[in-house]
Amino acid sequence: MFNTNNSDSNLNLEIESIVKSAAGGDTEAFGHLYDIYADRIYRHIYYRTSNTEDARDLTQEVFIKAWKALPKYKRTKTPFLGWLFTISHNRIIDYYRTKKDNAYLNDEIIFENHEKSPEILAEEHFTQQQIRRAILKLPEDQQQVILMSFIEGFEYSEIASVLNKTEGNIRVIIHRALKKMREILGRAGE
Amino acid sequence: MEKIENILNICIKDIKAGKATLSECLERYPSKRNDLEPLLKLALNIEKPPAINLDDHYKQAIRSRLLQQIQTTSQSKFKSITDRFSFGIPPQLAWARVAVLVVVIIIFVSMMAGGTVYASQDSLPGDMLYPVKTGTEDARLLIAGSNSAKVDLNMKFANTRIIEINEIATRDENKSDLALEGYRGNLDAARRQILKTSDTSVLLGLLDRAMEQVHKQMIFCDDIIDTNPAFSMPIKEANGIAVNEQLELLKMLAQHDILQAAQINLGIMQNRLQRAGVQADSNQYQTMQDVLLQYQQFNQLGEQILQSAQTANNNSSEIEQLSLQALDVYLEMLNSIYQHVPQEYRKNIEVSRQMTLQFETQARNRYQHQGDSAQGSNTQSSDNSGGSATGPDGQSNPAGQGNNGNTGSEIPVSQSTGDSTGNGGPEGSGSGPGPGSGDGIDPTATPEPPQGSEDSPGKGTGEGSGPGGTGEGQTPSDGKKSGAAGS
Repeated sequence: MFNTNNSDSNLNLEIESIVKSAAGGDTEAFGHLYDIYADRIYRHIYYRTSNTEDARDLTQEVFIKAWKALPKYKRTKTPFLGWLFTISHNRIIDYYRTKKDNAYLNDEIIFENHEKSPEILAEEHFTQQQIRRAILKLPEDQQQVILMSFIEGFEYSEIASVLNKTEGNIRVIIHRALKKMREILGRAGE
Repeated sequence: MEKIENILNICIKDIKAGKATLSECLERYPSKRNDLEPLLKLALNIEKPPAINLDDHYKQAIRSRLLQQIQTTSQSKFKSITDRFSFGIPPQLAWARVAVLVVVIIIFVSMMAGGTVYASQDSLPGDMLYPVKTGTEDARLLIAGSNSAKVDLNMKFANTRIIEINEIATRDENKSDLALEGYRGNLDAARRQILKTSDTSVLLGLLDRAMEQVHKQMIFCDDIIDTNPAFSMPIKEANGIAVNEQLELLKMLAQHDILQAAQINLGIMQNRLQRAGVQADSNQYQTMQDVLLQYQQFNQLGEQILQSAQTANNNSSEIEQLSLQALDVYLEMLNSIYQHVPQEYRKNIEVSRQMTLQFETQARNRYQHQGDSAQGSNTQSSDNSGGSATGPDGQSNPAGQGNNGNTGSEIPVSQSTGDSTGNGGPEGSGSGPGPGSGDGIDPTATPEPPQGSEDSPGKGTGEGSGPGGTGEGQTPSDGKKSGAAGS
């Protein structure tokens, strides 16, 4: 069974080895990858769809798609999780296309934190919902970069590798995205 | 002077790592303070959402379903080494494969021995080694065994040409002609190879890959144009070539899978509109106009695809539904852009809107007609019966729905002025008992998305009635499409 207590480098090596087995058709190895990453992918999708049920379905679809495309992954040098995120991103874009309206933007996601007072929590909750809506209104490429950087915590180099861009491109996109978000938030506040 | 995006990056990293405070960062860059401060505050305010995990029960359930499903789902196959170096020679003639391989290796090694090939890889048009670089590419194409390999190589080389165009344009625009010509040549060659492919499933796979690459090339050009406001003409030209290529590939796809072609085309239309919106927001009106012209090209193709589908009765109702659903949103986007640009730049938006309306009308007429037929109504004699409206230009608008209230009085041209409920929004005056926008489109029937056709979510959030249902427009702040309340 996969050992989550290993150091980062060992972890990466172990994941690399599991990915290799899965790419060779080992379904049990793929099951391990699911165990490791299902929550991250689900969280990412839930953040963007704000619908628990859709997020569950989409998570499953992302992993099925990943299974099919896994042999292609062997040829890339991007982190496996980053690769999964690009699959999720594409799947979410398709999901948006099938939506009739933008009502999902008005849905709120659950932010729970029992350590803070209700007042502070309410204020933070409001701010984060506003920020989330602004992120979801960004153009697709900016949205993906902001989410990967600020929400998922990827390094610029990793994002650049996943998106086949340079780190310079990523910095430019982040700058533009933040400017755009300010505009969106400014309009929302008017 | 350091660029703001780099400063922003440094500050975010330093503050997050506890190496500096916000005010220390701002003090470091006093001249950028005004721009930097709000962006930094926003960046630091973005919080990771709480660690919401999949419920254990669901996690296990999904895992079981997943493993069950992948047992019967094959992974995409890649050719073995021996297959890759088959040179199109059947396995029975293995000795011939070996012989050809040996010759190729000898040629390759002898070329590499001089280091010329290697050195030529960074060369640009006009450089002494550039012909060696393109010659090597030709040699690789020559020994590529299959159509698929040739298509992939040509696409790879097309990517190289785009990078060359960008690099050479910053030095000497005149020399970029060679790279532009090469880019066009690689795309043409790839398309010819795809056309030669007789196996439909292979052909569809090649089209899929080629379209993905061309899309990336379009985006690459977009990025350059965005990052360099004084962008080079060659890049703009390359962008145009990529757009035309995408149109050609979509036409090919439409011959084999018209539904997917329609879906992808609608997706690109949306992408172009989003880009036009960003350009308008950034006051880059000339670029916005260019992007709108591209949008119009894809809109035109969308109409052609729909017409073919309707003529051949091939997935026409699905395409009509998809188009209506999408075009409704696109009209809203066009309106939004329209409101943000100065008068002198609005003409192209109006043209785009007219074309979108025409496309929508084409989809709506048939769709409405089908709905009427299904209900056994007596209106088959005319698609327009009861639903037509007259625009200010005196031309009949058979769609007659006032376009979902998108138009309203915001864009002055061709505003419908009917008097019935139909689909008119709060600002637009709709007419005719046509299908409410978004009405009757059963999301469960939504065909699979263009990428990963297995990815259809299989469910949706459909509201409203079937064709012919009447919905009342709601205020935009409701965030809902008019007609959603249709019964």
